[in-house]
Amino acid sequence: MTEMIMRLDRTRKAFGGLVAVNDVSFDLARGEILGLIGPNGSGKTTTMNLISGALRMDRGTIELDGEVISGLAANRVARKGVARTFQLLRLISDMTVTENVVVGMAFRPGQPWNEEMVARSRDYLDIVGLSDKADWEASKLTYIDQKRLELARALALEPKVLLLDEWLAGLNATELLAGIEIVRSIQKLGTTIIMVEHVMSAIHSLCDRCVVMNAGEKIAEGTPSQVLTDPLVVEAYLGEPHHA
Amino acid sequence: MISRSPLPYIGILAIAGMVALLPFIVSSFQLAFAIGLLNFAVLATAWGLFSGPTRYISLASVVFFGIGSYTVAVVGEVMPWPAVLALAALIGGGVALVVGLATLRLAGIYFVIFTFGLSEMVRQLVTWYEVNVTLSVGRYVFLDISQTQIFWQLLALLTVVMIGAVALQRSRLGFALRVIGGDETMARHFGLNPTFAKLALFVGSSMIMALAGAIMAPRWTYIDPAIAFNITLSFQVVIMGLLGGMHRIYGPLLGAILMTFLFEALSDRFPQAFSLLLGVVFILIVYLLPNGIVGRVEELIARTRRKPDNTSAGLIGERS
Repeated sequence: MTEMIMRLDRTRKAFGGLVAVNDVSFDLARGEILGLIGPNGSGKTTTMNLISGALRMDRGTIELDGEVISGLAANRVARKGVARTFQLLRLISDMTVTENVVVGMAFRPGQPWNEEMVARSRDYLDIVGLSDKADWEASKLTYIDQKRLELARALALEPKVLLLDEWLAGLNATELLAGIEIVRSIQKLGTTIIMVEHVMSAIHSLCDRCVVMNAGEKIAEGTPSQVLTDPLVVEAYLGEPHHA
Repeated sequence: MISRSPLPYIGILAIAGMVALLPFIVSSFQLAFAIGLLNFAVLATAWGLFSGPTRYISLASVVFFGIGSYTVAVVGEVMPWPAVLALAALIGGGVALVVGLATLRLAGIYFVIFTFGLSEMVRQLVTWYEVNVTLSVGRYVFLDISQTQIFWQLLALLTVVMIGAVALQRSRLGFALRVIGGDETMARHFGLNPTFAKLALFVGSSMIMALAGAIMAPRWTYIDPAIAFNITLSFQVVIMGLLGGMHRIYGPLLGAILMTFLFEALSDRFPQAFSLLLGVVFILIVYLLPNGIVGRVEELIARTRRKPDNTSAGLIGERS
């Protein structure tokens, strides 16, 4: 049994009468890539927001390395070692690429405020393949390059757990292959990843395990090929089969 | 982003050193004008320190300025001068802390309205207190402080504020404020506490304004709430900040210098229509110079540079 890094225990979040996340529990093993999948509106992004502290949950607990992080504000969760990318990109457009990466680094606990951060930002830009544009203004980057920058900034936090919210969405076929390679290289560096994703080819090639959600509940858990052939999952995505 | 060059500090000190000699060569009328200018320079720079990075437009400048003045009116004759100044800064900072805790979670537009209401409320409160408790609305300030001493104190304050502003811009807190101004939601997810950073800056900026009010108080000899808490001052400070450009340290300072000359000319030639013309100037600035003079100049420089840059950027773009 591999070592566990994060555990969600019966987390629940309701918006008025709508239960967006209904007593969802799962474990995250150190070093794995976990896919969080399900149809639109199934509660994936809400779950990510509960982990990152963007939303306060109604009940349940989330532990990181044995420490309860649920109930902490987003800035405290980040300092405990959870980084995220945003579905709708949130870069600072009038800062340079390097400065945007320093945003990820500058507010980590114990980080001194010095020149060395600029040098180190180059390492993260190398990983995502953006080091040749280090001095560009972020607003001048193409869409895929802005996505790369979002990822480099999250990496700069040196997170224990990285949350990717549809980071591969909207890429063309070539860009998608490049994106998959980048995510794989980040896993090899030892980062544990939870990814919300709709792109099935990416889920198949990247994820060690998947958690499938539908209407706020976890309906399946296992390897990608196991869960994607699970009748419950097929039904959630395609509707009930018609019997002739 | 991270710079350790001492040049800006040396420049600020050198300019301040030269300006300090002014009282020896100018007339007392010119000195009075220079005091007014320095006062606005301090207020506008302090305003820009908070409003520039956070993009919260504060109309509360006069609240803290007035608190400083009133502190002098109340305790000026019973305490040594440095203690009076320290007390003014502390009270200004204390009020800013309470106000900030209550309001800095508000979105920008509500903050503007709140700060406007706050200055009116404080003015009414002080009036009520003076009428009902001390039974006299006005107060006299008889202190043995000369025009020249006021000038030097304001200059020293401005120098400290400018040096502090440069140091802040180079610090982690300064960087944090740029990030918060850029995207507050994102900032939270990278370990920043936006409320704390904004609060720290609001308190610091308000303490400077209270100090300016305290230093200026001996000039008046007589103050009442309508003088000390005159909302026009808040608007003047905002106009100066916007004219110069609030995203740069020296923007509000530039705006303060230009505006003080303009105010002087306007109130000299059209004393009846001063407020009206002030409004017109405000409108013109917002329309024509949304990023202030500094922003406009930077835009022009960028435009002349862009032409050669375009081709190389295009080539790199194609390669990726």
